[in-house]
Amino acid sequence: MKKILSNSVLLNILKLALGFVFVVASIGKIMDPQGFAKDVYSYVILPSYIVPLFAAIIPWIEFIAGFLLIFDIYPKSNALIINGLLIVFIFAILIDVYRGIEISCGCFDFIFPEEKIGWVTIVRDLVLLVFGLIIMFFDHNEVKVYGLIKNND
Amino acid sequence: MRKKVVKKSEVKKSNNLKEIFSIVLKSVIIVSVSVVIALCYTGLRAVTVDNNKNQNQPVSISPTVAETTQENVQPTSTPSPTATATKVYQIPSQYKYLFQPVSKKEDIHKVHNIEEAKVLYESGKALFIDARGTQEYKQSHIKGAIDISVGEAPSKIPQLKDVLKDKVLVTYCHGVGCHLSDKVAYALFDAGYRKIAIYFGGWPQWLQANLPIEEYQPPEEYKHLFVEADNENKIQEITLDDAKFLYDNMLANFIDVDYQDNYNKIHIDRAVAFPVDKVEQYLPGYDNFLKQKPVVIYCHGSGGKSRKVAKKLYEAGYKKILLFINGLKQWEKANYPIYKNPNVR
Repeated sequence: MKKILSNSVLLNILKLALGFVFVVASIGKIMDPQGFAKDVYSYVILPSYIVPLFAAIIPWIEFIAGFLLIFDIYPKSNALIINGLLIVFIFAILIDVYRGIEISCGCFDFIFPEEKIGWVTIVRDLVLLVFGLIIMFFDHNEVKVYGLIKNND
Repeated sequence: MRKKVVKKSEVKKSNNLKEIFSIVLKSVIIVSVSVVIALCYTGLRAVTVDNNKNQNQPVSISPTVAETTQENVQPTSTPSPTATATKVYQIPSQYKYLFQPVSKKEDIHKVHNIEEAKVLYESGKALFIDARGTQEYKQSHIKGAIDISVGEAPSKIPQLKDVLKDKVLVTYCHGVGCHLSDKVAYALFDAGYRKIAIYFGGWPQWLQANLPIEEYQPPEEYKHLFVEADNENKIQEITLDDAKFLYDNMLANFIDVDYQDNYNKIHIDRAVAFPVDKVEQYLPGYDNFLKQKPVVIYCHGSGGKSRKVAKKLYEAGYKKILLFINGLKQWEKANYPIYKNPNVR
C-alpha cells in the first residue's frame, strides 16, 4: 500500500491535479474579491467584520499553495495548507447543509458561478482532501520541480 | 544491543519531529507570504466591499435617471429589495437556470410566466431594465428598474457599467408582441453581458400580478389633475399653466375634439383628433389611449364641444378627464407648440 502511494508518478499526478484545482478556484476569487466576500457573507458563519479580511486572504493562500504544488515546491507543506483549507471548507459547507441553507458555493466562481452547496460539494472536497493527505504523507518536502532541480544532500 | 535500538528509534523520532517542524514552519511561511500579498493586492478592495454592504445598494438608479426622477418618483409599495437582498434568499432549484450566464444570443433566458419574474425580483440578484421608453418609465415602472430604451442603449449601456455589473439583467417592455426588450437584451449581450433574461410577460403581467412598482408622483400643486372626476358635472377645468405642465411632462394625452377639418388646419402639437361628431366611432379603438393617462379635452371654440365629449367619455367610464376651456386660443396666444397646416390659410 505504502509503495503504491509513494509511487512518484501517482504523486506527481496528484500534485498537478490538486494544484490546478486550487489555482483555478482562486483566480476567480482574486479577480472578484467582492463577489467572494458576498458568498462568504451568505454562509452566515463568520462575523461580518472578519469576512472582508477572510475573502481577501483565502484566495491568495489557495493560489500560492496551489501554484507551489504544481511546481513541486515543498509539496508536503503546501499539501498541509490545502488540507487545512479543505477541512475549513468542508466544515463550513456541512454546517450550512445541516442548517438547510441553499447558497452559492463560492468555490469555482470562475467556471461555475452559480454552483450551490450540497453533498456533491462535500464529497468533492473530501476527495481533494484524500489527495492532499496522500501528498502530505508520502511525498518529499524539497524544491524538486519534478527532478529539474537536483538537491545536493 | 537493546540500548542501541532504543537510541536509534529515539534518533528517528527526533528526526521525524524535526521534519514535521520544518514542514509546518514552511507552511507557516508560505501562508504568511500569501497573507502579505493578499493584503497588498486585495486588502483595500475587500474592505470597501464591507462599506458598500452597509450602505444600501440595490436600487441604484443611474445618476442621469436619478436626477430627473428622484424628486418625482416615490415608491408606492413596501417590500424593499434591500431587505430581500440582505436576507439569504433561496432560489428554488427549478429556477436556478435563470441565473446562469448564456453563451449564445439565442440562449438568452426567456421569461414568460410571472413566477419566474418574481423569483428574479425577489432574489435581489436581478436588475430590471425598462425598454419601453423614458416617458413611460417616468410614469411608472417595476420597482428598482432602470430605464434603457432601444435608441439609447448604445450610449447608455457603457455609462451604466457599475449598475449593470454582476446582476442578472432582465429586460421588459409591453409584454406579448413587444420586441423592444429583446433588442435591449441583444444590445446588452453585444456589450459583453452574459447574465441576461428577457421578461416577455412584461409590464402588463407585472401590473396584473400586483407586484411592486414605482409610480410618478406629481408635485403637490398639480396633484388634483390626476384624480377621477366625481360626476359628469364636476369635470375639472384646467388653466393654461396646468395644461403646459401636463404637456411638457407628457403626463396627459391631449385630444382635439373639434371637427376633423379644423383639426387638420390647426391643433396643439402632438394632440390627437377625436372629433365630437365621431365619438362613438372612435371610442373602442382609443380605449388604451384614454386609460393610459389623464385626458385633456380641448376644442377650437369656447368649450361647447369639449363639454359634450367630456360627458360622453365620463359615461363611457373614463374619469380622469380634464377640460381645457378656450384651450387652443390660450395655447396659441402663449406661443406654445402648435401644428399649423402650411397648405391651409
